[in-house]
Amino acid sequence: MKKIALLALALATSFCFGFAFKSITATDNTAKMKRVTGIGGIFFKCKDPKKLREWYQTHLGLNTNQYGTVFEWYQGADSTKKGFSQWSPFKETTKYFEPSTKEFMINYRVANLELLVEELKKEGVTVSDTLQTVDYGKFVHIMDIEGNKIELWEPNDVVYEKLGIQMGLKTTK
Amino acid sequence: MEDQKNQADNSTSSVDTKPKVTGIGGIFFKCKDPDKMKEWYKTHLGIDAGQYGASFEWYQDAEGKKKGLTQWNLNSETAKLYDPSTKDFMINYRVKNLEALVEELKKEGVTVLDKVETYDYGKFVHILDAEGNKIQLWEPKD
Repeated sequence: MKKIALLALALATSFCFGFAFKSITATDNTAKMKRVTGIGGIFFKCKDPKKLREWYQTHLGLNTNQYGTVFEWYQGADSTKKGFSQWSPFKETTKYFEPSTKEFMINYRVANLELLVEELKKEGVTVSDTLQTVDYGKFVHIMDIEGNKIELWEPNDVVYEKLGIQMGLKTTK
Repeated sequence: MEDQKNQADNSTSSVDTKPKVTGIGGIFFKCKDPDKMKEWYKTHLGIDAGQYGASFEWYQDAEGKKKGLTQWNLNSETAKLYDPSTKDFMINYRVKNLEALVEELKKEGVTVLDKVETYDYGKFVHILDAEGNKIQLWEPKD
């Protein structure tokens, strides 16, 4: 009888320990989880995007196209891999930044978007749409505490570069 | 001797010194409460910004020899840093050969707001784009 009680106690203790360790590990993973790794893009409103793109091309040497330009660089975690940041002026009337009323929107590159979105939801962050998957990565939009809309992007840089080349677009570097 | 001279000429001409923007050096935007916002971005997005903001590190070359930085920072709504622009954001562009670029921009009639300032981490100047956005140009010393 005593043996059984001891066994039960041992089981209960190890269960509690296990649970405790499990939650410590989980917290640890979340804390260590890579969130934003870089700037994926900067978008801003203007009166005349075409004219402004031309201005940046003429005076600052940006290789602009109908979308703006793409800045090309190499990743900090692995310099053999390229990274890209999109730069685009938008029309003042664009709905793309809504519900934000700001004049700009930033796109951040993230390591694991699905995992991050789950975390953000648990943390009470406003996620304003469902995760979209396209050839060149995964996207979702969230809101910060001052009403700035944020675009989160888990890029597929290889496909992204290929698409640009196929379209005959030159990057800025 | 002649050969040596030619080689020297060739190596010089292969280095592209044309003044231009090469990347994004920073993104700055205004907010009501920078401290609270920095805390939020740190907690939820892992962007750890101190007084001068956060730096995203990357490389300029595939060999990983030359680092590049993109600075991210928040300013209070009352910040004068963006004046005379009335926008709520400002972009810093990395530039190759800033002094030559400024000379060209002046000739082209672009509004150059101040003189080139040199710091430990590079040279800076501010200009306005065609729609009144203030632009910070930076020739970094990476």
